[in-house]
Amino acid sequence: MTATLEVYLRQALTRLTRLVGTAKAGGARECDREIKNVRLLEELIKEQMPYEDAGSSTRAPR
Amino acid sequence: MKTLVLQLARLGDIYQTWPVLRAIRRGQAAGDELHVLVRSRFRDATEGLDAIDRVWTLDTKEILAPLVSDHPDAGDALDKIKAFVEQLSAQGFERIINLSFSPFSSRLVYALAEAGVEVRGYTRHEDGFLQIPDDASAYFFAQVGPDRVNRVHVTELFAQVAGVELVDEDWTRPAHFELQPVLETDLFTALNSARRPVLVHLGASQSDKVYGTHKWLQVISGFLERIDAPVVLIGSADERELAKAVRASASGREAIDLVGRTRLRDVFALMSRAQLAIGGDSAPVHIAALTGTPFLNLSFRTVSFWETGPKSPGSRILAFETADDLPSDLVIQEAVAMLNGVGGDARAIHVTSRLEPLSAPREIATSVGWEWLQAIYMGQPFPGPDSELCVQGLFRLSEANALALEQLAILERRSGDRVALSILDRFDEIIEAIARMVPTLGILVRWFQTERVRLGPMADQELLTRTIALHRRLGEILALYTAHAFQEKSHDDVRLG
Repeated sequence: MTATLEVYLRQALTRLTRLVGTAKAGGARECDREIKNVRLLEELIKEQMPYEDAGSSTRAPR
Repeated sequence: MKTLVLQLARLGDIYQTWPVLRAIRRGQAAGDELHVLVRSRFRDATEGLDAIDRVWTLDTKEILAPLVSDHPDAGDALDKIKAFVEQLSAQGFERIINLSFSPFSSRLVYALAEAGVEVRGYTRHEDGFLQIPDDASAYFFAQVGPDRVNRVHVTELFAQVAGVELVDEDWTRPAHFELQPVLETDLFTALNSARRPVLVHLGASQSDKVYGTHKWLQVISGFLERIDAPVVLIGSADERELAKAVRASASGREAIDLVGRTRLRDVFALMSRAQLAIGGDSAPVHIAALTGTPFLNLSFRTVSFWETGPKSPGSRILAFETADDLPSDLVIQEAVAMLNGVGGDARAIHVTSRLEPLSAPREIATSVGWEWLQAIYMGQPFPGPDSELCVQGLFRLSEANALALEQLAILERRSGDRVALSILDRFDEIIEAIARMVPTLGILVRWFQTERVRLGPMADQELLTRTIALHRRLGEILALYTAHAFQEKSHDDVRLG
């Protein structure tokens, strides 16, 4: 992974944290669904980060 | 019933999932559907798998593309992931089996699993905490990985997560794969004989799984001198330079270099023809399991051959700490022994059947750690402590557990007691320190911690009751040693009464 890509993805994680805050201000059901999707996207981003091995089945879960 | 199986790992993991998908299919009724989700870049590894009705793909690059620009758009990426989830949700899966064991996969399952959907494998609780619904996934969470002592092959673990029994026929090659005509021509011209080739895969998915260039050169030269059969090199385009460096001629012969020219279906076709294949821990070893080709697996410390090693009967494993420790002469001798159908080096580990445990020399077969795993998870007797340090560790664990139980009893009487809660927080630090000092006891500690993770969110009183029950269970195991074996100075196996 290039340093630039890592910067982009870290910035995206920060933005997504803000989105969770926005979602929580919405209705309960919509908020729940939105947060699920945001968390999902966060995990997809984290898989791309250094030392985060997206592939191995023996990868330790968090 | 409509079933979705998630396999979001790499090529090798997908091939190791094939037998499980076939077993699931075998158990399905007419009209049932079996879908599988893989990463788009590994989709080719589902080609030829006729047990499934539909392949879905996760295109990470496409979803994250809006984030990788000078004007990143998180909302756009979020819309893409929403569309991906909605597309899968619309299928109305009644059962979801997650064989991926990753945080992302657990969140995806949680996003897909509506009420009433049967879930196997990692998912999430409503509060976002990891949920491990089945024992096989809990075993995976706690005890599987190259730095662990697990000896259950991942294909069997996948089967246990899916709740299916494997049979030998679940490992079968696709019937219709033929070699590309251009490769067929090259191969035929080069072979000019009807002898079945020996296939050599030079690379692996990670550099620490790869045998060194110089050693491969010696091995290939040795093969060309000692083996009549054609020697064919296979691998990805990234391994072309390596192939050029090692295909060196010897005795006027040269290895046939197909590196970077084969599709996965070609590897199946080649593997089916080969009398022997050789390589590290990578997709070809799992393709060989499906074609039934004996495989000589060169295995190093960063990989557990117990978990991801060869499955085809007649295969052998040469397991060494690092590539430097494995002499090229030994590889040549073992390959020649396999071709001649005779016994080889005493250190070699043998695969006798896909469904039976590996046959390993005594010094490799004997493992106190594995005995602990069998005791905790498989109802076998607990082993005696293997060292004085282990004895001390068991006593310290027992003391820490007794202290934790005292604090839990206080919390039963005075909910929220801060001192008790503070001491309980320290309990984790203590048992983790013991696990670091006595790796064998790490197995017990990881079992305990995983079972606590599995408790999940619930009413405070119920959580307290179940936590106490778990600590008591740990105490029962420890008492086998503290109340019994130590005083008698016995190192015999001990059994939970």
